[in-house]
Amino acid sequence: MPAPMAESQLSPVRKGAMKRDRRDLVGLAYVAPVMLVLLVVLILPAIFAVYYSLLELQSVRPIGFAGLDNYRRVFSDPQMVEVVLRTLGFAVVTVALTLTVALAVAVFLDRLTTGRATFVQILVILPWVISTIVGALLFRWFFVTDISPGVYFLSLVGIHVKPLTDPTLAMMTLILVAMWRTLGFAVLLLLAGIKAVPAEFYEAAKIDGATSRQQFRLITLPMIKTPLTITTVVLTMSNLNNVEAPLVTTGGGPGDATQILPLTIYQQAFTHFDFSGGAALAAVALLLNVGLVFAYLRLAKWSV
Amino acid sequence: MSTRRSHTKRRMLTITAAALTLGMVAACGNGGGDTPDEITMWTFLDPEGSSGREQVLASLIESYEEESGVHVNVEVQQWDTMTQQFLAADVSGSAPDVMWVALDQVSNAVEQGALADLNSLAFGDLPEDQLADLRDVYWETMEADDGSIYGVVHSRNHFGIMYRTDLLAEAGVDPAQIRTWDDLTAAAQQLTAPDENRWGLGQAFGTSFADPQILSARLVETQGSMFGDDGVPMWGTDEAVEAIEFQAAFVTESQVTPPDAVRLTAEDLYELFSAGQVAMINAASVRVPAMQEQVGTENVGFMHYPSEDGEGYAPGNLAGWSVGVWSGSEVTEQAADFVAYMSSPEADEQWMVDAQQPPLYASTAENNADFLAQPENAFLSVVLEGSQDYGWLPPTDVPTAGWRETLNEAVQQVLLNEATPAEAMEAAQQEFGAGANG
Amino acid sequence: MGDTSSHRIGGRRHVVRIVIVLAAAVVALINIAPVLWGVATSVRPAAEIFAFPPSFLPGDLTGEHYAQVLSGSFTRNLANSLIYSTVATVAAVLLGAIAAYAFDRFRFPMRRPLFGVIVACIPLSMGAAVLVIPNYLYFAALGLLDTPVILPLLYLGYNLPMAVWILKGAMEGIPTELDEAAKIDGASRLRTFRSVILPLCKPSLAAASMFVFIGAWNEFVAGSVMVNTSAYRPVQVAVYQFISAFGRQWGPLTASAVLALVPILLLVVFFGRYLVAGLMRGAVKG
Repeated sequence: MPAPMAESQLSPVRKGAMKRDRRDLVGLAYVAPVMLVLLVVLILPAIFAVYYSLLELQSVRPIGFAGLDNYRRVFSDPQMVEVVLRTLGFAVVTVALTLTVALAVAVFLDRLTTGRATFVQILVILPWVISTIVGALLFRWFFVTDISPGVYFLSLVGIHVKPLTDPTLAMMTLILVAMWRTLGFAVLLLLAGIKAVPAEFYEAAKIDGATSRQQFRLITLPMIKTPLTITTVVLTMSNLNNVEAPLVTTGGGPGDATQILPLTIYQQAFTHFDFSGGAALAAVALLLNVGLVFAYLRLAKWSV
Repeated sequence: MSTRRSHTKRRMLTITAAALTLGMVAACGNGGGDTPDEITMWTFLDPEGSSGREQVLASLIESYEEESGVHVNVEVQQWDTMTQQFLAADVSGSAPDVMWVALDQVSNAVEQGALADLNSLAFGDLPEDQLADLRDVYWETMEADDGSIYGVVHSRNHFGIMYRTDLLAEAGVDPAQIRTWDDLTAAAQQLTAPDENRWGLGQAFGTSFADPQILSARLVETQGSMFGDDGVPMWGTDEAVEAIEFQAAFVTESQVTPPDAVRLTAEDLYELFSAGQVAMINAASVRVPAMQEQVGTENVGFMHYPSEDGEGYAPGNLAGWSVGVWSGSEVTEQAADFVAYMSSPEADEQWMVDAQQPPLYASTAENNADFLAQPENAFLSVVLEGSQDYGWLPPTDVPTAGWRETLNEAVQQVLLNEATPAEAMEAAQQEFGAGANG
Repeated sequence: MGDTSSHRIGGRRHVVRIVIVLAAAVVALINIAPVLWGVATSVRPAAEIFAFPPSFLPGDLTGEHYAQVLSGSFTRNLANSLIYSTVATVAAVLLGAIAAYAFDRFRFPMRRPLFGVIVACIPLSMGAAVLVIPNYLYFAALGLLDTPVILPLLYLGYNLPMAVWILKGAMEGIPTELDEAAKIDGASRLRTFRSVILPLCKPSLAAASMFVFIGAWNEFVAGSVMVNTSAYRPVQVAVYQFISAFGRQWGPLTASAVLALVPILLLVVFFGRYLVAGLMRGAVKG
């Protein structure tokens, strides 16, 4: 049903592109349904959210126009710079570690026989597919709390670990939880990329006497550039917008050690009932996210 | 139906964002869909659930439906985000007729104009003696200057010390003898055995879903209140600095609370308590029944915070859920009628006897003295004493949402040596002011 | 397996192999231990859940938590999520594949900016959680709140940018000579798409489907805010309701989370095989 609507929207474009092939418009028609869904579900709400952040609110109800007052108010807090820097650091470290491990696991899986690979894949994917909050709670319970079975089992084999009260360790915990959650996803995408590399490439390389490490470096890596880029972007975005993991595992503490931007936004609105401040922060975070994606794609010399 | 939907659809494409917020299309939600013979209620209690409170709610709804012929449609929500969602639903015109609002968040709902005055809708007509019977600190705090009432507080909750009777007996500690703060510390020291993985006094300073702490009891004990009349917190005072030092000393000096407390949440604490790793915890009375179920009725005790001199008790925080009516409801009278029904003396007795809820009416307690005298219900008497004499209820006419989290953060900073007590309280005061005054 | 005979540098290679397998075992262990702990908790009587010292093997097995979960509206919520996720997956892969095909193979006006919009939508979709209040007001104004339509629509929108991107990435890898050949044989573009392109990107189609399905299945924030009626509620919200005002009810909480895992596991077993079988490379392995 969205197609005819999109078709009619095309007419101004058609005039501008008279000379082009008819196929041009077929191309537009092919992408129109996707664009329409994105417009309604993502783009208009985002525009509305930015607009909403400019309003003066009484709790949730708009009572006037505030201009940039909400922004001024939240960014006058000197801690906000720290929060943003911490968030970026968290995302960079988490993404780098996740990618490294995921790539290793994907290469490992690629070499296994089908039955075993499926089995291992299920193991790797489990934390990703279990309920986000229950997963984070279970991870925390198992590895971090005072009644941690993980710590207890380790102590049985003579390894004694102290519960993580130290602020740096708390950040490590958060990174581990985030990694644990998204690893399966990264493995899945990278594996699909690796599987798509034609077998002839490897056979040719083998005839030339390339070692498996050389094959990985010279064939696999360049060939999976797109899935690698996609995975990096998605991991970055999901970590930059991760509310559940810090909320459930550390609550931003101890101190401010794990206070990252998405959590701050959530707390601003949902704990402190400052919905206008939350909206302003969210708008900034959105712009930051979009900017980062494009900066990254530029850096990766990625083109359409 | 379908014409309405396609109409809405066409509208969605043309309407500007400005029009959206200014409420021009506010009536699109389902709020207008209520027929007079049905009311909708949002609560965290599931009438199909198995806990005492849930079953009492189910039975009250059933009898109300029979009596009035009005169907009560309960939409179970998450307790931690339900008020925020209600505020948004109010703006978009799709809020429920009856709403449970956490007490700390009532002022936000009132400020936004989301709640209707129950006094003019239902409670104004109640007999004088019934009103007098209801009148307590909760009622008085909820009553605005002009006499309007925006909710009746149910699921009342009082903070104090929960203890494991069995563990205390084992260590030879008599809870009745804990009258001063020093007694508490001494008892906790006696109970602390780090080698056995046991601590005397569990506390949780995590900032997700924080509970009020000993800090707030101490602060109100020495200063009388925590917020000025204008809602500005009084956290920069000498008393406040003394209170946070006092709070931190449980970890740093007497060492009866594990340093781990900086990252624990209230939920963790109940689990540690259940696992027998802490003998006493800073806790909510409302959790007693669940703990009784987990570790045995006879093993769970609940008492007031002790006090400086052993006379009386330091004021424990009072909390609860304010049940009110949405101001935008088309059936406000029916909704208020149901709230009144749920809060009637008969219902009150049911809440107390079948669900171990602290009663709303003084007379309910008097008429059921035998029930309250049973050991498993002893904690209810503590709560009653709290709401009658010793407790402290934060104001509900000024915004206070987030005060517990902000204070917990201050405690974390002191315990991690990131700030001196005075700096931490000063920062908390500023952060709270910046956040709450929108 | 078969490669040991072709490589004669036995010793060192053997050590490397052992190290790899050990590392894999550690990763796998860290991965599954908390989940297994959840499974163990779900069959433990309430009184034993926090028993110390902990043990993976429950003393008494109980099905009470499962019984409690299944007695409520949980099955309804599970069915909801199945429907929501399936609708979102089918729509996203269908619409996404066609769009990816056009983006990769056609020249048309605004092609690059439009694809840029799709990429920019990835952060928008992931950041939707922090926009929950304005989003609520927006969808309320559309009259979509608390309807059976809202969640599949959102899940489609949230996952569509990724689906398009994954599929376009896959199509880039397919040589254009194949299109040309099909064209010479007289196939239409749509037919080329269906009978040449689609079969060749099956692993990525599988990956994209799983991505969308799991994304929709696990979505929590919109699910908890955009519908209030329990009849429309998705499964993750139903799971979360066991973290109630009465505390974390670990028994039913883990039991419901385990139940919510089952459909996904079936999917991984089914599609995962498909993916791992490496359709492009057949059985010929190094």
